[in-house]
Amino acid sequence: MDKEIQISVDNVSMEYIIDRNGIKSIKEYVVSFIKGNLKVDKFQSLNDVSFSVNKGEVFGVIGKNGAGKSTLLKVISGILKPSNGSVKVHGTIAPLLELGSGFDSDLTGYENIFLNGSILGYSKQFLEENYQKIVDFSGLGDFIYSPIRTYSSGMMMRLAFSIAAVIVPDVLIVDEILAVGDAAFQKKSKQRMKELMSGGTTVLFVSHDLEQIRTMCDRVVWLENGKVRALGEADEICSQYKKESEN
Amino acid sequence: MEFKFIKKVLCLVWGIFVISATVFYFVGGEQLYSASTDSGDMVQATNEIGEMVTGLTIEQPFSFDGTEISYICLLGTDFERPIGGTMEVSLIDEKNEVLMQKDIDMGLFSQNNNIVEIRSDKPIKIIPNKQYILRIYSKDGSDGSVPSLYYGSSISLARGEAQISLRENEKAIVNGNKIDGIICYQIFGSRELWFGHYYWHIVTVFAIVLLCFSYYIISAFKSGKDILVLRLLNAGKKYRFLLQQLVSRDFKSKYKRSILGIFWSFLNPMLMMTVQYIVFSTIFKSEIENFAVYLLTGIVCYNFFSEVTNMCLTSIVGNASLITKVYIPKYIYPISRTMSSLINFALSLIPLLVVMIATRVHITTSVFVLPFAVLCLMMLSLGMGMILSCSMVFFRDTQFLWNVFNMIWMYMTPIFYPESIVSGHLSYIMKINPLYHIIRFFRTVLLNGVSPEPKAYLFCFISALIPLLFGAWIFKKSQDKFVLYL
Repeated sequence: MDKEIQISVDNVSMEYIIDRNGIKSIKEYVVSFIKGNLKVDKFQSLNDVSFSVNKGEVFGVIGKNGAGKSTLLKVISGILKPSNGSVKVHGTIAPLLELGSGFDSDLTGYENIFLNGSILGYSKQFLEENYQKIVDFSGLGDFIYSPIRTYSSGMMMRLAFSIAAVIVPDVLIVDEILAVGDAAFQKKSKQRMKELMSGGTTVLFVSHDLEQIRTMCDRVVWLENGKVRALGEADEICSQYKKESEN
Repeated sequence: MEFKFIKKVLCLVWGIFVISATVFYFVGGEQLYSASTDSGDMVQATNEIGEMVTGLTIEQPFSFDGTEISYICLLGTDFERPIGGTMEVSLIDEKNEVLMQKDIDMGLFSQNNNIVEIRSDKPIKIIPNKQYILRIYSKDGSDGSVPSLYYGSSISLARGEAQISLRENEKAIVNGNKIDGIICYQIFGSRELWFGHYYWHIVTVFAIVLLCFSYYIISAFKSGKDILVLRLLNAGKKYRFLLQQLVSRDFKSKYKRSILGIFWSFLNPMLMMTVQYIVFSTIFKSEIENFAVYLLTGIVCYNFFSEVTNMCLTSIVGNASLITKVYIPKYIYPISRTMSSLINFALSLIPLLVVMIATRVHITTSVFVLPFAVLCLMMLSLGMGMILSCSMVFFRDTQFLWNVFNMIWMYMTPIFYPESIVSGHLSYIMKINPLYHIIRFFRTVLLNGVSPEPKAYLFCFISALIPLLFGAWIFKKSQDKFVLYL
């Protein structure tokens, strides 16, 4: 069967310049320049990573801490520009923002829905149509018209998650399934996530919870020290990974 | 992107082009054809030539950087007694041909600070910088009841005076004898500009360029080519809503928790002007006509510049939490900050308008050219803001350095002092200051009520375009590295 490719990652390498001796000011820069210890340490976070994700697939990324999972997601969502190689994504990407990072505390919940939605790349028309859905999902009721600095942290997270979840993007990027709010809301959000995953949205999914990956993902890539260690069916890769981490 | 959208944008561009070309033609008026110019300050009146008794002839060689002389001023003294008599003032060219000849009542020297204006009945056409002779001949005047003209050989400066070195052929001749100095005279006239005569030619050239450009865009779109303009248009369409949201966020949250809210936008420049007005009009005497409007124009413009640069400075660093989590073109941040400052700027024009009405400034149609100056001011500020926002990411010292530079820049710009007190090599520094040209443009329009001469437009535009291009270039070069340093 000929599948449509949604994301293609070709020979992507990402080099970080780490610890430039902690230089953050011109004075320090000049001093170290004169001293001659302007050392540049490079750290290869991703090394020649290639794979492609088909449309509608739930694609998992596993690996130890520091294997380059988050970097990979950032490269795919366009936040980081790879030092080498290229990434092609067809359609819109919705990163599940670290909750509330696009909020302005002085604005009301209502205004924040539009602000956050526009940051996520949605049109005015779309947000107006889906506004009621977002408010309903969040269960905030009339609090939506209060400035969000008056919200409890749980309320804020519920609003943030609702904005991200109501929207149906072409590609959804999830860095760990979010455990947000009370038990009832968590159930609701997991339900919604499953709906999205089964509803044709391509999902890129990072988690340490192997069981979750095994049940949700179609295919999995296993990263180790910035390289692709293995790529294949979820079950197969997960067992391999489990075996190795137990040893 | 649809073709309809491109069509809409092109129509808009053409509409703006046609309207501005027409408006400019009518608003530009005389200033399109000629620029007024004068021969500079008079020499210091140090010596008297002597009483203008019948037969006294003074010949003063001069050259003038203009194509037309409208009037000549002469400084004399009445020795504080009644005077009378007639003198004949004539302008003669090298071939001894008389360009102007006029009889003047010498009694006029006792009025108007002893300055007599000699106006020709018809404009006098001359060749720029060619030698002419101004001849003053006393036709009728008796000893004891005639004035005397002054001469001198030094000019006054802000501090003291300076001797000028005179060439032999510049010195005045009295009754055939050369004296060591030049008479106190001043010539006012204008220089003809080619711009006005070729205005419609220039507009046509622009129209052709625009036509080619439109064709280029349409053909590139139809063949699906990826060109910069199309990419920009696409981004503009895609991120318009985001920009709108960010601007309204900035604006709402700025005054959200203050009681007076939006009124601060009026109040701030108003209060600043009041303080500075009191300081500079009482403690330091200033000779500027309508100092209140002069000052407020400078303050409003400089405030905008300083607000934009300070807001842009933190635009990248301050939005670190967003930049590291979601992809948005990074230029959106400085642009949104500039836009929200522009709203503040528009609001602060209201107190300016109030002061203008209160001081009875005649508001003319020339205000229609102001959007051009606002655009230039915005481009300049955005360009500087982009440079600063990049610099801030890599070196956090920028914010402190900029505070100092901002202050230096403010004092270097003639905001509360007249530009005439800047002289010598300092005036070169003033002339490379882009803000100087823009503020000057504002003042010409608001205070003189005329559209500035074409050269001023050019200076204004260049001083805005260069910083913008430079800023955009630096921003583009470094934006991919931002994430790594935030």
